[in-house]
Amino acid sequence: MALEITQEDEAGIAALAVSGRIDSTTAAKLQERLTELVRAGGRGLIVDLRQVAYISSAGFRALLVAAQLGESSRCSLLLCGIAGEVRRMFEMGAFDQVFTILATREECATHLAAASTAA
Amino acid sequence: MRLTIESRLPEIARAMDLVGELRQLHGLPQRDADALCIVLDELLSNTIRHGLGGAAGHEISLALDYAGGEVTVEIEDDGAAFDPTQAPAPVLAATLAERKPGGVGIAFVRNLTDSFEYRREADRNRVVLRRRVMA
Repeated sequence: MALEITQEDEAGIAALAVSGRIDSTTAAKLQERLTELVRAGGRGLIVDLRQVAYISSAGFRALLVAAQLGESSRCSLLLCGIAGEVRRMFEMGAFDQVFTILATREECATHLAAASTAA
Repeated sequence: MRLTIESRLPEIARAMDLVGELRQLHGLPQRDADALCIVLDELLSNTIRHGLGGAAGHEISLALDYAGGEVTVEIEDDGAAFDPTQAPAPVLAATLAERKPGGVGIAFVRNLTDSFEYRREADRNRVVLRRRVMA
């Protein structure tokens, strides 16, 4: 299955549901979408990877570029739905240490709301 | 199973399809097929971008086989000599700001295979990988 990206906002925060495979043939599409939303200037962006079959280093590059862009423009990138073999890839590349990863989109939205209240 | 692809990134999707055919033919678990797709994505994209310098018009040969509880993957190209088995382990910074995007691909290949060998033969790069898989 190729990559599919649908926008399903959560509590007023941009959220993308990603499904299929994230590799060197599809990562550019993901990076373009992520960059576009980070640049749109929201306070956060949620990326739900629950339906992702697998992710290679090209996919991690796309997420990292977007998260670093977000960090410099105060738009936090939060990831959720990471389980099984996809989680194993995050751990293998020590990406679980650099990304903010929560269980669900709802938890991501709550986290962002709390962060903006604190700020 | 054999396949020749052109040295363009979209062609990698054909290699993934071949993994799918191997999985179906032998009833292999999806998680192993996914691991093999990641391995092929890392090596083929490396070869296309770096080994062949992004130049189109080269051919990359692939062979996939399942026998004796093991999948064997062979990849051959006519690019400059490059031994991916000697790639240094990446430095993995633990903060988002300091983390560099590259370097993990070959580490993924090592982690997802049981053997990873390289030979330079007749001006061609030849990589042979094996992964134990229970059908």
